[in-house]
Amino acid sequence: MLNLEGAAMFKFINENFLKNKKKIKSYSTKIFDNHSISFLDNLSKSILNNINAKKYPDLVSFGFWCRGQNLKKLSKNYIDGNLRKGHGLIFHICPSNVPINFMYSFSFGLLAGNSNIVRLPTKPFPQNEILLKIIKKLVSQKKFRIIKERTLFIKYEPNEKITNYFSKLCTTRVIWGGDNTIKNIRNISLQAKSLDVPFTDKYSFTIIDLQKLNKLSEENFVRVVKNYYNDNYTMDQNACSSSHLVIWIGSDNKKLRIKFWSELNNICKLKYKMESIGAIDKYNKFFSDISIIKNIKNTYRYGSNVYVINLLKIDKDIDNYRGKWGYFYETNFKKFEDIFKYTNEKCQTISYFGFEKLTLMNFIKKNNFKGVDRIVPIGQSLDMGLIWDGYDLIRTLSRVVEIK
Amino acid sequence: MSSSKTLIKDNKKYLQEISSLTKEHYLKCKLYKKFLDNLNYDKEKEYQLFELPFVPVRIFKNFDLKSVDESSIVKTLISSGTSNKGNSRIFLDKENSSKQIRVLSEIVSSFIGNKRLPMLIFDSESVLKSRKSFSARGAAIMGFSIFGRDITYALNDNNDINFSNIERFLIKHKDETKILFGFTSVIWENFSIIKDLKVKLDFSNSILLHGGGWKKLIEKKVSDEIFREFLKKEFLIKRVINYYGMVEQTGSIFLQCEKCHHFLTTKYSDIFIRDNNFNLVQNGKIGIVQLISSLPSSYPGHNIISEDIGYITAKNNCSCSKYSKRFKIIGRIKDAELRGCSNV
Repeated sequence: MLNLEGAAMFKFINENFLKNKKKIKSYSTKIFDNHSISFLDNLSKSILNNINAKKYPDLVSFGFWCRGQNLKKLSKNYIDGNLRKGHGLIFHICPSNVPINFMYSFSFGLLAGNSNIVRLPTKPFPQNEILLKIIKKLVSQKKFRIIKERTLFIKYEPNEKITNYFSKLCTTRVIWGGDNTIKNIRNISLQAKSLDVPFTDKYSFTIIDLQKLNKLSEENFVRVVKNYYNDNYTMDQNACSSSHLVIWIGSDNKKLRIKFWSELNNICKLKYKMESIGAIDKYNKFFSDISIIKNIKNTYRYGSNVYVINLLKIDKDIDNYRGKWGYFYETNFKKFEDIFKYTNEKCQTISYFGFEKLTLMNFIKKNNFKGVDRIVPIGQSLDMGLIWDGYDLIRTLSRVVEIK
Repeated sequence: MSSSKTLIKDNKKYLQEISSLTKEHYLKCKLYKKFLDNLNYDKEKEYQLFELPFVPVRIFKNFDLKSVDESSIVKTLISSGTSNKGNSRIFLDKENSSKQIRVLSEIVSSFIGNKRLPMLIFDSESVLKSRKSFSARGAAIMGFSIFGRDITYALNDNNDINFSNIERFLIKHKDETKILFGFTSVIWENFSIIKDLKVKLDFSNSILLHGGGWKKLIEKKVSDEIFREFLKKEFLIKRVINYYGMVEQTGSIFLQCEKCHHFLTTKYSDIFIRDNNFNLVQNGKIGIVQLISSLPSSYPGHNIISEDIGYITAKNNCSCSKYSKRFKIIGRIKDAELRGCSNV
């Protein structure tokens, strides 16, 4: 039924598009089917060989992620004796201010065995344009005719009618966005049997063991700070997994803390392009914080690159400590277990340095607390996996066909 | 033409003034002290002018900052608030308020002379509703009307052009020098209408003073030069003087040199241009505009970093550059696209 005509790919659409009664056929192939992997592998090669694409680290890292080899490796986690197939048609509503994210969302849908309608950000990100051009060229090849048939990339300004149209068509709707946006979209109902998969606004922070950090060689110390830089400045500290707060664990070591932040500033000086609006926004936030936040012990600024608000104590709602463009809060805890008194449903990523995976795992197993979707070493915050916000996306976007 | 008296600054004296203003506000305004403590300000230290702490202009929108007792406040200025970020509230005591009027008068009359001239204001009288709290627009009109006599409003309460008022005014003062005054965008809009309607009005012999509200013109790509040429060509208005200033530093405004069309600092004001790390940039380079005024005494607005970008001209090829820093404003800091995933 859903016949995604080739001509309909990459469209900036308005309500008129809905009158055009093209039927759409939904696919339900098995997860990680060879055709989809082969398409993404070809896409990976085209991205990694494209000179323009190389300028965009987020695009390159997607290109690297969707290598056939990597996908085959990932698929091994899904060999569990069950036959899994796609739901049918996924409608992805992607965030307007993150480039490339839509492509991960699309890939999850495809690898889970579905047809995909993807609402792209309306803002013209250059890396998105490059990527779409590459895809267009690829799907014009005969061998990827089926991909073309089961894919639709669209752009439209917020419009309830259009959202409603696709919401009624799809079997699953994936929504990325702030809490309010998601609430608004969820007011638009789906078919009775359809599912919503919401990715809400999240909060992330970092824990660092002071003693372990202190023992590092100069070189390894700089590596940790570099990783922290990559985690947070790549997306202007505005990704869900960006860290806003560093909780230093163990007895305080002011010298070491200051060394960490000033090293971060050194890296910024070489790599980060601070925008005027960012500089002014941070300066304003600094003044606001000084007047509003209680428990400020100290403040540090390194040019406009790094702002640090040192807190004696933190509030229960830690997700209120939020910075942008490189604006951080810090506090000191005696033992790491205490952080779980402060986590809530909004907590997504805890990035860490100086802890054993096993220790963390055992603690998580034994204790009852709210939130926390992932705990990753500093430097891996932005890594996109098949598990996001606690959802296994392949399993969420597919179904089990039971055969006895 | 401008008399140099108000332009010439004794730098040493000015530094002393601004330093002691900083110290005074530090001692009298609790919140300001908290800010400066966090900027590592040391009240005993001797600073250069460019080293003295500056506050972001937006804090006057977020907080009520006063360095005098509530009871001595006689007037509150409220910014026009074209953005959605709220309005600034500026608290004036008697001394600060009268200083603003005196200095404004000194600066403007050094450009157009001491004589009171017939004045046509391109606005409606209703902008001046309340005496205790003023919009920036109202404050500007109030402030500038002291240079005029037979003050006439060119717009009626609906902001439509009041042609009969204008006509009566122009006929009455036919051979005299007149002042036309208004917000830049209001002037542009209304003179465009007058031109389109092909109404014959004789504006020659006029000095046009305009300022503020230029964001709309940037959107329409009307530069200062186009603006001036339009008024000269269509209405024979040869003297067009733009002013630049903020409600946070009312009084110590910057007027444009009539020869080189740069804004000029006066003995009451100064400017620095900073990069995104707030380091000073070389003259000629574009950056964020920091403004200093020696007037604010009842609120700590003497040293602010604005959200405008501009540059100080490096060349000294105009007589005004002997006395003043010459600068141009380019526009607002642009709202950059923030990456991240918080909205759809």
